[in-house]
Amino acid sequence: MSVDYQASFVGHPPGCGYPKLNFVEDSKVVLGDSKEGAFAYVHHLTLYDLEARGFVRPFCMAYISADERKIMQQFLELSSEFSKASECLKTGNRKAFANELENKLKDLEYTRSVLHKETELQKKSNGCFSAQAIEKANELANVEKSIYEHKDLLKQITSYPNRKIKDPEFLPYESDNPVDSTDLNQESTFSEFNAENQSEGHSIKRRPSYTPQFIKAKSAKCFDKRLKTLEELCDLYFFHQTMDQLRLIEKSFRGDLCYIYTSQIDQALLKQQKITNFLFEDSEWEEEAEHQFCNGKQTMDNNLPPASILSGEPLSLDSYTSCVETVPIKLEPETDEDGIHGTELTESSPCDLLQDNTDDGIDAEMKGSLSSGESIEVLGTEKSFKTQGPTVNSNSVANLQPPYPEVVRSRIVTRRAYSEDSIEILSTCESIVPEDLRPSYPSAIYEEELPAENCTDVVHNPDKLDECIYESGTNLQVESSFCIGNEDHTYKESSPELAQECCANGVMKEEPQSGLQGDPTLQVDFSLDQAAFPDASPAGLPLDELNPNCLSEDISRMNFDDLSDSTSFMSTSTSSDGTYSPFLYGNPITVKHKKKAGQSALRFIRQYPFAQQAIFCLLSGRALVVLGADEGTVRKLVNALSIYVPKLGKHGESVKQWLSSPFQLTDLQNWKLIGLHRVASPAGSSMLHSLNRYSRYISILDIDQKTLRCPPYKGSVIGQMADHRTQIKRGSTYFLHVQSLQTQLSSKAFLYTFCHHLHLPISVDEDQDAVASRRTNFLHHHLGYSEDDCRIVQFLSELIKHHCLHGPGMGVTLPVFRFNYTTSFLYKI
Amino acid sequence: MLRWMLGGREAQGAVEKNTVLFIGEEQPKNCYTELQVLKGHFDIVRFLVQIDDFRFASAGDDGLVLVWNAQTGERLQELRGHSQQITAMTAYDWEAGDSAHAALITASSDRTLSLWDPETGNRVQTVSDLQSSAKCLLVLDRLDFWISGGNELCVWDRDFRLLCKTDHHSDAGITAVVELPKNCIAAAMDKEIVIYRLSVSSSKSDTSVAEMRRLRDHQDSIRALIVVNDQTFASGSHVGELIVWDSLDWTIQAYERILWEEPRPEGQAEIRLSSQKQSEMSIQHLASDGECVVAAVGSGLYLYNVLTRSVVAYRKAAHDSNILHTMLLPDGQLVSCSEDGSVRMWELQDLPLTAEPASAGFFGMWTFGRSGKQASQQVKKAPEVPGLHTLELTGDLIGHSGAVQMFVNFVDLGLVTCSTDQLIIVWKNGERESRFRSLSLFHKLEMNQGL
Amino acid sequence: MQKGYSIVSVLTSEIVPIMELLSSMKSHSVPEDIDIKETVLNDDDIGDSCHEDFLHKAISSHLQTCGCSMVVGSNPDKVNKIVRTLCLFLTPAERKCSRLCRAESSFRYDTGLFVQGLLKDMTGSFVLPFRQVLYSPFPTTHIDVDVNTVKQMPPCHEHTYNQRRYMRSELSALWKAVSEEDIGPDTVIHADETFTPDLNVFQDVMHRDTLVKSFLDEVFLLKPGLGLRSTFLAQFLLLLHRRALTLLKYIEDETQKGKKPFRSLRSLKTDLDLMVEGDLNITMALAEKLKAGLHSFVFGKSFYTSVQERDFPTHVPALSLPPPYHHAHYELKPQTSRLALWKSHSSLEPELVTGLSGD
Repeated sequence: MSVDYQASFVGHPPGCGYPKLNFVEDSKVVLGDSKEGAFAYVHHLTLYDLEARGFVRPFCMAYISADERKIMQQFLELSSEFSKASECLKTGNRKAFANELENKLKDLEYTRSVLHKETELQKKSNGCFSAQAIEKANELANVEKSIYEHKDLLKQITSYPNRKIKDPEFLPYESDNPVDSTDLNQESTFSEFNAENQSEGHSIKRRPSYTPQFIKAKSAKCFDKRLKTLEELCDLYFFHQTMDQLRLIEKSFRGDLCYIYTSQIDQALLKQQKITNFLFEDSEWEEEAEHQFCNGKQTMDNNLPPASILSGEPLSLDSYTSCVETVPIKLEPETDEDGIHGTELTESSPCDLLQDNTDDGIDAEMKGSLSSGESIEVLGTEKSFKTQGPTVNSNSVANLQPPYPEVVRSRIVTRRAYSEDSIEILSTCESIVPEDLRPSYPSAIYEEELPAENCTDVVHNPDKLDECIYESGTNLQVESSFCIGNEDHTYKESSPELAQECCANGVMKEEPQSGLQGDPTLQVDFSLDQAAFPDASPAGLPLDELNPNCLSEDISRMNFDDLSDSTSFMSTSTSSDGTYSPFLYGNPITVKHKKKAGQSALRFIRQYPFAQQAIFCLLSGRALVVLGADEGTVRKLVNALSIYVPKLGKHGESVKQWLSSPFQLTDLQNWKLIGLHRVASPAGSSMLHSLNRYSRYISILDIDQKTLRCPPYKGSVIGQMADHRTQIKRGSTYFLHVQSLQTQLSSKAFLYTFCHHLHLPISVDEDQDAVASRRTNFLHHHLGYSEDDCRIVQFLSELIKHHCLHGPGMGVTLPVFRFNYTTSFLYKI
Repeated sequence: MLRWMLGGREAQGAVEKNTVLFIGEEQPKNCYTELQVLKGHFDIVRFLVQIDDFRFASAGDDGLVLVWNAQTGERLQELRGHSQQITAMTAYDWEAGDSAHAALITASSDRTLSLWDPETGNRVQTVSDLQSSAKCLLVLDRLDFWISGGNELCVWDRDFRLLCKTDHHSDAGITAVVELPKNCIAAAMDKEIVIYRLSVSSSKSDTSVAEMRRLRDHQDSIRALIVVNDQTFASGSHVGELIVWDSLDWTIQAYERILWEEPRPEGQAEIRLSSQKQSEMSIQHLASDGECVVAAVGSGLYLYNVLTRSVVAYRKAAHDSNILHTMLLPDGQLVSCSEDGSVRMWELQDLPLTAEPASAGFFGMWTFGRSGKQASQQVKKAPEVPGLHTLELTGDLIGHSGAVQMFVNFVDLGLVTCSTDQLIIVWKNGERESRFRSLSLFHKLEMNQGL
Repeated sequence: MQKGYSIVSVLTSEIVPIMELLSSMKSHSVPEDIDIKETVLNDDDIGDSCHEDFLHKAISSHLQTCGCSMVVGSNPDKVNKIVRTLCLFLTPAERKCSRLCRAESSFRYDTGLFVQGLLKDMTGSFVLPFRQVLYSPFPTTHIDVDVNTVKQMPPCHEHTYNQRRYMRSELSALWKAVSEEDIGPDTVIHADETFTPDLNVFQDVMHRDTLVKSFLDEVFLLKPGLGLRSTFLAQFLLLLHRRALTLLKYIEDETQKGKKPFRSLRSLKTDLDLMVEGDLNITMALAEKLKAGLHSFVFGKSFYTSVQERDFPTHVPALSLPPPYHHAHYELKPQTSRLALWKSHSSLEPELVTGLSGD
């Protein structure tokens, strides 16, 4: 990417020599190296740096993947997401740049005043035309010129055309939480390893007044001066917003193209059916829906997870108001800003100092050479970001710094995530992609403890990644290309400790995603059901060995959940290792959680002959109480069953995982699935009393006795959902299957709810009974549902109606508790 | 008969305990398939008063009066002002101009009376210097007066002006007041019913009240007093006496002593006494539809026809413990609620006279269970009274975890119950609600022109 | 480089059609968000603007051929209404690759579009280039709105197989021609003697489904104009996509992500409720779009065995011997031209004509 430095002065009257800021559009390119098997979407942008040549420094962000189709097909999405990040970064940069300019101006004015005094002194002592006096006068003139230039720059930067800012999508600025960057990212990094209050107190004290420095002539010609880091170039708040956005991009584009594509289609389709989404969909759509109604700030809030800085640094708002005023980057059109800024400038007391302005260019050039070519700054990947905490830079304002441990910045150390794809922010360099991926390249990417095997594999066997399995019938070792969804990442996600450990050791003991992962997983899956798959377990792993506690290292690095699920609920082992909890209370439930629960659910329907009845209870709105003595077992089963619960709620509000006290009627209104602690104490008897009292509203699944007390189910819908003979092997696949059927159910419920003629009389003389019989007829004959299946649809339909009439919130109207008077039976295994 | 052979008194007790009527979970006639729990009170909820077609007020020991929308379950108003428990509450409607004003009068143990506007939640009027707290309130629509009964009977006008009052009565005070024809009022005071007459002159301020007569026929304190129709009113006492009175000349029309255990030929007196605890005979509540009176006697129900002066039906063990409130609905339906926390719905059915009692008796011999006792009663009762019906349990509502104090029936919106568990539950007809929701859904759809 | 063979003329002949295609896609584009009001799905009743069975067949076949359809007819409004209706079942990105018909004079058939509306000429026929149709990445459904007929090409793996064979023969013909040095822009390439492409690429829709059937039965029960039908449609599409994804995952699990051949089609059908052949075809077609090559993978190494593995009794391998009813409709003629043309008359009596397409 080229930035035309020479054009900097165009647009000003010739000879005036005022530097002109370029407002350059980002450029987006796709780079590819099919030989190396790496493809990248590269997003170039420029940031302003007072010390850089032409005041601009080029940067680029890239999304690198081994899958070319992913880059190509997702180009628009990538482009729009990266543009958001870029816009955010640039906004922060303008803020920081303006601030830098202001400080520089103060320096200059101070220098001028000092020089002025000195000149006067020289004149007095040596006479007006002494060499020293002339030199001083020249210096003074230079400073004057520099002041004008900087003022002009400030004017330019503050009057930046805010056309994009008007677009709420692009506005990351949140005025409620103005995290300051006046002092260029000192305090954030600082506070990460220092006492918070200390840094806070310090920054508050320091911030309001900037002490101008004297700028020595030629002083800026310091070759040892280092380049500003990205954090220094950008307002801290925006910097972290950008990082979060990049993390989000990495996350959302992770995995197989097929999966990304499907989920995009899903999201688009879900948006069109807000009415029924609450039934079985996870919460993502809801947030999406909210986006439409909120303004830009909230949009940004939702898009970007809370900036990490906010958590690390609880700052009082007051201390920042001044900075906000100083650099007014606002939603409003730019007209005001000049005015405000003007006054700010005039108010600031003129200081005098001296500086050779022309050195700026040289200085920038020097730095440019530093950063170009080999020097690649990898500023952050998802994994690496946290690890680079203590890379704090000794700043140019060193004299102002408090005595905190100074870490000399040589390179920013990063570790690359072990994902096939990565996002990196890189400073200027050409054709970074291949180098970046090649570990042996003697570049400046300081990839400490980079797992070499992983990388070499990616680089040297590119065909492994991209070959389509269908094309040739031969046995291919391709894993990732046929892997739908982000399964290959489950390893990483499910056992972060393991991943961490590997990183820390610096050696990847095993290739995480391809080849080896699949085998043991499948072995385990197969061997679980040895009767069904007698030949599928070549290793002949006996079931006992599948206990997670006695796993060999190789196996233990596999998907942990699948493993823990493979030990049955029935086993007495209290596997309270935390793996049974796919969702924690308070956290939104995602599809990922549900997929994990799918394995347990699959196990459940295979093991319990009365699984259909249990699922029928959940789908028809009858509360199901899972009664058991062992918390782990109960919780695991509750989690498994939670995938069937309609209107689960964003945080799983409809499920009570573990309850040790008697429940009330109002609880049954909210909870449709309850894990209940069986205790022998008096508390247990009162619990049994409540079980007995509300027995008509609940079904009781006793996992100690292996019984289920519930109404009978005679239908066909659940048969497909819970067929114990199903050949589906993996939990996530089973979940997808359940999800499809749930989609179908909610579609039927929607139809039933919104068919006018099923609920309204066709003619005036038609009475309610005729309409009711038409309704029944529709359910029985058109949809072909049995009485019990009808009950499911009717229940879902009532939920839809209630949702439509009263909105998603429960605050306004109380939830309605519906039930039927039906006889329950006791089912035994 | 067999009972005695098998185990005498002890067995008797066991039978008593086991006489739980169990309908099972299959209740096809029970239309209440939806409920809404209304939370808001912090203590026992004792009173429910219907304000209009969709609103009702609840009050209880926490001194709070809450106004609810029975349809949505929304809490409309919170009437705060009483510092102690509410002892009585009544709705008070009057015409002012063209609009009907609904108001609430409440009486509390803090010896105040208040008039509330349920629309705004404002306390419109209040009287605080009462000598005793009122235990009952009665609105005389015809005269536009209202009456409070405590240790004395006070007559008030709409503007909370005390028009007149009676002398101080015994400590027991007035527990119930009913309006009788010819400006008369019957007030229950311990074992007596006192008849007062209001003399109303053209200027209301000259209104005075005079005691006309004292009816001393009850042997124990009177627990319930109701108007049956224009000619008759009825009272029930702690020992199970049900007296039907003539409203005009205040004479006894009928006297029934409800004793569950029939004195049988071979039954010893001591057995009867031991089994017949006082509370089991106490008439807790009376309700009437103008023709029949239903009495809540202990944990049993007793239906008496005032016109024919005959017992229509009865059920001794209708609930597991004392029945607190009953109501007669059209079509021979009956609802009762009890300290056992349940609401039960009954239907008056013709008594099957053939075969059935015998077989039940037969089973009773061997299984020694539930229906044995009732069946044996039916055997005995049936030949005695030809027109006897049976109260068949058609459904029960389980939800409260404490005694159900009372209920109010909204014809369309359902049944509202209140309980010692501080909750109010609205029981709804699920079918109707579903239909209703569909209608409003389509309405909303049309209004919004689509989804 | 051959003598007399200028790059300019080659580029011209290649680029001009591409530019024409692009401009036609722009000028007659299908909107990304189709208003359901402009489609058949807005009718009060299913039979209002087209025959019930026809609509079902059209949509079902459209989905079975991966969303690739050409709609041919004489009335541009009628054609476009069906085009838009079919486009409802595509993703927005796919809609961008669809084209309405031009009222004045018809577009040519263009390879690679998802749905394209094509107008018949004055004589009531539309010339369909065999080569282009065969070169399409997906099989195509042919819908004639004048006579309400729906014809479809064989499923993806057979389509690919036919395509490859045709390409091979074309290449070998070309190779032969080059060696004889008689190639020129107008030179007729004689096809390989041993290979005669089966022109019966369009067959009747044999496999009925329940998915589209019940969707169509139900969608017309909803009151039009209130957005209910759009929502219902979105639900239907979501269901299809989820089923497709589930199917992919299922196969992935069964084959250890493709390491082993897929042998359990029967249990797949049972487990995923795809017992009806049409339902399976629709789901497979959708999955094929998510994962190219799925059909070839599932239906075996050679497609011969695959056809047998599909185990539906009525199917006869199309290549070995076309079903007799094909003969009734189509007549094979020896191929003499570089581009085989398939002409569709209103009478639906197709015949082969010689000459170049596009003229």
